[in-house]
Amino acid sequence: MIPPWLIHLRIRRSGRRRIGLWVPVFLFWPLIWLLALVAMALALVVGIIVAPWGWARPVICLVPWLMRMLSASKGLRLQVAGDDSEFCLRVF
Amino acid sequence: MSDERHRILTMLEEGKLTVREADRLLRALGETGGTDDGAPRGPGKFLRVVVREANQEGGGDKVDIRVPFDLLRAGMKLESLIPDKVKGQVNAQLSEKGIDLDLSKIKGDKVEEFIAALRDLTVDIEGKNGEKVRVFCE
Repeated sequence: MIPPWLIHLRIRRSGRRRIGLWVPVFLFWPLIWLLALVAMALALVVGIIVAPWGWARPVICLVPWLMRMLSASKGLRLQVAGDDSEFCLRVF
Repeated sequence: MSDERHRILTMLEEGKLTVREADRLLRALGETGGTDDGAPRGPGKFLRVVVREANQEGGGDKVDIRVPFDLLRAGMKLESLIPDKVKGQVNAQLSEKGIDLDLSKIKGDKVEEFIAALRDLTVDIEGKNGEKVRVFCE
């Protein structure tokens, strides 16, 4: 489960300057992994607490699932463009 | 050898097809699905949705979405995180809205089957005013 390397965001609105942003996600990988580890530890505790109500599995599996979604988003592209405006999000 | 290829060659052997017809069918099969060795083509990695609205100046709005199949796969596995009690409630709500979908039936192998079926999906719609909608796999 490797998170995305880069995210490119481009926004153009009529009469305004175009915004193009490259986010080097790979620089934040250590932070992402650290947060995921902390969240997983917390989820484990919360999962044990809510186990009697049948919510243990969803709570414990939530963080790995989110990490999986994040890593699976590589290759995603959303582009909506009009005559004078555009929104583009690309995940690498 | 794929089933389709085998069927065409059997029909040729039985004399139901001429050599020319069999050749044409085999070529068509090669273009749409099979590879040279008859094996099925590997699954695409992305689902593309392209919507173009052409205006009189040739421009127009455009929507271009490319979703990795891995993301679809991971998203559909959200079902396994939903507790059984909640699944029942969700199913009831979906049913009220006229959507006949049972979340408990979305299992891992069904997800794979669904994604494999998407490989062959091609939707090509063209409107009266030149607007186009395409859904395909790449």
